[in-house]
Amino acid sequence: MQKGSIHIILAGVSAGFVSTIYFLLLMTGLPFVAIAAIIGAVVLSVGWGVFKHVKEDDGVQQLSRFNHVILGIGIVYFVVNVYPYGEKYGGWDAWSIWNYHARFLAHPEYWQKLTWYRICHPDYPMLVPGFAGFFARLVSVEALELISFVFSFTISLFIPVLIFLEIAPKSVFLGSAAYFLLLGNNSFLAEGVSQYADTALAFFFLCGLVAVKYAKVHMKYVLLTACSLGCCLWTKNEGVILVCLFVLFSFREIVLNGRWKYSLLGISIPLLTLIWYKTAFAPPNGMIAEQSALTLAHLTDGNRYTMIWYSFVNNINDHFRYIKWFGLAFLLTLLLGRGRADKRFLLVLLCFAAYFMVYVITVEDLKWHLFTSQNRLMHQLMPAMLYVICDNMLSAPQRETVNAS
Amino acid sequence: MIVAAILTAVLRYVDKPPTEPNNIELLELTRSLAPVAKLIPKSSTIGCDLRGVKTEVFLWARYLLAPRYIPYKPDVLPDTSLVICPAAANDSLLRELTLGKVVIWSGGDSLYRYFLTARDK
Repeated sequence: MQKGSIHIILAGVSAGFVSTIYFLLLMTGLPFVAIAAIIGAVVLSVGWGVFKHVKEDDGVQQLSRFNHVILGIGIVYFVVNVYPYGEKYGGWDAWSIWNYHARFLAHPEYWQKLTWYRICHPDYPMLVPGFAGFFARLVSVEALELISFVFSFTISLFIPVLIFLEIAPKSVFLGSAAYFLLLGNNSFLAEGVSQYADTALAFFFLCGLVAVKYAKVHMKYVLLTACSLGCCLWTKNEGVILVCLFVLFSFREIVLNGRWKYSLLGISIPLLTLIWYKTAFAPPNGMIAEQSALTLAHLTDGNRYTMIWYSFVNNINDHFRYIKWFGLAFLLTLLLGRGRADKRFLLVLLCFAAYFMVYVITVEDLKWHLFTSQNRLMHQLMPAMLYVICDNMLSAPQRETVNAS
Repeated sequence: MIVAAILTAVLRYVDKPPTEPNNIELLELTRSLAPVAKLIPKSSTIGCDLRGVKTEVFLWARYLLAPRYIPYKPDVLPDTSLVICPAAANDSLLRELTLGKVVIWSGGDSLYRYFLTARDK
């Protein structure tokens, strides 16, 4: 793995864990001073240990100077292009859900009032609000939107950079194509700085896919994978679906041969936080609680499938037009027998299928539900899809060479 | 490079005027409701009585006054309520809004007028 990739994954996961530990300690009722002291101590000790380990690890690779130049051009391009989309209060869900939750979490004395509401989704996991809430409490509640913006900006930038760092050393052309496809995608940029949690989920899922590739090399990558999956769990409810499928597909890499200990270590804190919050504080999730005999009728209603499919195609054409051609070209190589796809590609496809089924059984008005969320669900999976396609494109010739020899 | 990008974004973000309609109104409400946030303790529950304004205004007021609890369309409004009506509201509506109540604070901007009222006992 690239040194830069490790730093990016560690930075993202650390932010996720600061938020998770903060929320976990909030539930214990500790005063803020004690919470901040515990988090500070954990971050310092873990950070020191991790960076010492990465510094001494000879297995990590460095990026070439040429790739650094491309990386820099992309970052400048991102900063310039994202500017029109960066609004102080973010999009609708930012002020009605995520930053709103953060305002409660910035007040440890009153945070439980959040669960009194029924119309602002207090059952949602709190990684993004927890991060903004913790730092807003440290700095100033007035700066909450700024903290939230910095978090979403950084995570949005991390996604294309991580893909570039992983792909470019093997193929500059392919790495740059994927990098600039994401950086040039206006929907990705707009969604990225809207201060929603979808980008964070996209990032942690991508981190999991990147880290699991190296799981057989060293146990630290198993730990990184598990930490990323833990952050997925505590970012959005959809994270539970992604993590279940991920564990199912990567069972050998993250569970067998004693790896389960590292996986358990990485995922335990977010999982514990999620279970505790969901069982002791949060109201029931509407999507699950309101399922009834109507679910069977929905499952057998062909019109729903047609409607979801057309909406899916329209969303791809509207928001991910160029990435679509990238994906279609890869599918063509598979059909022609010139390419190979590993199980991670199947995993991402199955995640799309799982999201598809969420709409089939939704208790909300289907048209409204598709209109308000389908593009965001696709935003969660598109970076992972792009990375997996590129990685498979690179792996196919290598596999053929191995087979030939 | 990433740190420089983040710093640049922060500097540009701080100076950036809002362009999206919801953000423009939210900024206006932030300025207008600042005195209310000072008057009402964070532990309070207050009502929000919207008269002739869109529902988003409730969501914005709720957001800006958090962690104060503001129930959505309760059967009975709490003793203290924030009444929001259009800036061009006529006098008869204003009289009706404040009838039998003590006006603790009032304010306005180019979009709305605000009255913080308490039930007269």
